[in-house]
Amino acid sequence: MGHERWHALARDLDWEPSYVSERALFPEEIAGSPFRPRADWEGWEEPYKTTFAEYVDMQSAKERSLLAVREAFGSARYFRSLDRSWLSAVKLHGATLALAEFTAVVGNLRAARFGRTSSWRTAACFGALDEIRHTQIPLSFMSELVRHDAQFDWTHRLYHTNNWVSVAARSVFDDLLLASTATELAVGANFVFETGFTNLQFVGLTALADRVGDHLLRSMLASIQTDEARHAQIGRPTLEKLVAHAPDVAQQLVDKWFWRTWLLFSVVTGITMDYLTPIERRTRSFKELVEEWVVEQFIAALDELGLKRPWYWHVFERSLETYHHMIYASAYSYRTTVWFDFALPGPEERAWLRSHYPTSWPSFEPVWDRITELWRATDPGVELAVHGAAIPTFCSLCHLVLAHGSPERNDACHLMHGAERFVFCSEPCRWIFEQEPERYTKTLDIVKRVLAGVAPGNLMEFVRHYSELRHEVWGKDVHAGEYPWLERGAR
Amino acid sequence: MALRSLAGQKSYWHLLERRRVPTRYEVTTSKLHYYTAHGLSVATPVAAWYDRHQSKSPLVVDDWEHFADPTETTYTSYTESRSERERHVDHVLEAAGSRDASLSEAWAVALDRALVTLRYPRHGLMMAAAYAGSMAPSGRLTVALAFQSADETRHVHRLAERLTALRDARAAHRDGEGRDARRDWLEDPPWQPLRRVVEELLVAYDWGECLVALNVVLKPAIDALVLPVLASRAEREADVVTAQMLASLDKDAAWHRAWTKAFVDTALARRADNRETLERWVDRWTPRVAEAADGVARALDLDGTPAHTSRDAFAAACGLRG
Repeated sequence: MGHERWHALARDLDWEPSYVSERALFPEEIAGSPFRPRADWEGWEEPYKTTFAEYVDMQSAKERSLLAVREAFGSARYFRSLDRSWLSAVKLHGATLALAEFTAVVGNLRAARFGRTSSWRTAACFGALDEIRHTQIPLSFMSELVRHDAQFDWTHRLYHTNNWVSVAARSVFDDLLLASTATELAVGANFVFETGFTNLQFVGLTALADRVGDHLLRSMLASIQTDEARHAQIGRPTLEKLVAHAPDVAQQLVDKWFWRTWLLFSVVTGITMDYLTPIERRTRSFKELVEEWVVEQFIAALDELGLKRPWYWHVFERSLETYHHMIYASAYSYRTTVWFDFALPGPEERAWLRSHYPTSWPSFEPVWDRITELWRATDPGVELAVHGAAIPTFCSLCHLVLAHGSPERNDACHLMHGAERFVFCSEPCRWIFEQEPERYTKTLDIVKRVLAGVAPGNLMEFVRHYSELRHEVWGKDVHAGEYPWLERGAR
Repeated sequence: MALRSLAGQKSYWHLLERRRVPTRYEVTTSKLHYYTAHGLSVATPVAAWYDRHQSKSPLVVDDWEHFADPTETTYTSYTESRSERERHVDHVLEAAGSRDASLSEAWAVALDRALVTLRYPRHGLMMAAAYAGSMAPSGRLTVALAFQSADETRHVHRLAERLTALRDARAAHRDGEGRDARRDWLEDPPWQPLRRVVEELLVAYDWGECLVALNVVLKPAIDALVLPVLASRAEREADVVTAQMLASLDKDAAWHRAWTKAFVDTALARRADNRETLERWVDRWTPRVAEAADGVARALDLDGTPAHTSRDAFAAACGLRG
């Protein structure tokens, strides 16, 4: 029987409780603020309706086809077929993705309990299942690569460590999924993150994986994207209701989550597209893809909802030109502090970057000139000769390095809260902190951990003991500083 | 290409102690919650909620990683198994055809009211499973509870579809449709004890109490009535379609009990003090659930059936005083 015949009988299952109060059943502190009575949520409607039978039928078919791709490629063959810098992108991806997806399982289950209509809750229940899939696919697939390369161990390990990437990633996923209300996660995760940004990751990156010849990652991402598109739909109807009843809250949540999501995608997707993808496989730049997949669609959605673009839009537009370049240069200089390797952009890569970022790239030339000179002055493999020595400073909100702005002008700013000074990478991060300072003072940034004696101040101690990186795992230059274009004179 | 130094590592860091090749289930379900060790990095009302209702729960073990679902359900195996069950139910429902038209009037009316009303508590059970899953300190419990909450959604969907087919077949007797669908659930006396226990369960916010009340006390009692017992009643009424559909849903419920037994075993084996906590919860919820089960039996005219008397049996089977 076609589900349109009976689905209405399965969707509207809310009732007026009488043995407990509606406020006790949907406490503001976990369901979402401000509390609105049931009547205000009536008419919440997801655009695409799924039945359980359709869900398991479709999903089991997807699982079978992914398994077939995986069997066809086998782990060793897969591993040996790929460019090393692309493999680094796979490691960055797998590690930041797998357990973060599990925080989304928890968030979706919270929405399956505290979402304000039965259809929202049911959609979130399927969402939770999708996110289990997105946790298990990378864990399962990459577990077979650990025997070939110990860096893949971090697919599971990252979030269990105090590595600075983990501190930064936990700060965003805890805020978005583990410790937020059902309403905030519908706006932040379903609307901004999934509707706004994941196309970039799953569509843009899928196309690149295809060009690189990474059939497994391509199939994995494409398959995951079809799930995202379904459960992302929870965001829009929730935001519509929020705009109707609490427009300021709606705007504030959109502004906050667009910024936090932007920084995360710049780091993961930005450096993958513009630095770790082999030059001959690149098509468009990260910035161009963001403009097409994020900015256009996001602005259109905001207009339709009667919301304004975030107040810091001018900062975002500048950020689009520079932020991931700043992050990459900084991370390259501190590559021993992470679990994947980095490629040194050579003349060809730099020409490509110059042509795609004509206004901002010239500022980065001197940075890479310096790094190249340091490699020229030392032997291949002497990583520490081309590496930062002091522990860098991190933002008190996003916990990423203070890398916003440009090489000439860093955007770092600060704020006194009580007697304590907090430093931020950018104005929007400071603004998010200012909205709810008590929310964000709990996690000490890395420098405060060093000052408090929790983390060691010596970089190598910091890498080995605090960040839990062994020499064979920590990040290096993918070619150990040995490039055909980099000539070393007789010394 | 030079391979990175391996030091013999063949699997993820947290699975090396096992000294054998980990199973697919172990690889994909172990240590999935990082926050239970690290704490949450933001101080929000929800973080405080976890502190109150998870960290301060009297139910604790040294390490919940000792729990494992006995059927090692992963996303792949779950979707495979449920799509098979759903295909089977599709065939059953398709075969219904004209059979529904020949059901007795009394049964058709009773079944219509039962199916309409049962959707509400079943949705409540989905919510409770989702809550326990969101709060459980073990990733494996979270996974099992997410699948359980999806099973409850499956159940709601099949109730709605069966209801529609029944009404189609009996187009001349569409009396059920005119009635306010919520009326029995909100007002009919026999349903009220169940509504009360579902509403109270939904605000039992300690994660352990919620899981025990739901899976050790309430579900075994109610599932026994509305699945096998109601199925037998349907069979007696020559309603093979409803009976087979319920039998398929009962397989899901059997899995819920199987992993719950493993959960209770883990709790008791890892810490003796948990017995007192678990039994206190069983004692607290059993009278309310008994009253609810009596009401459901009355509402569905299921008195005197064997499962009705065995409602405490599951707690006892888990080694808890029932």
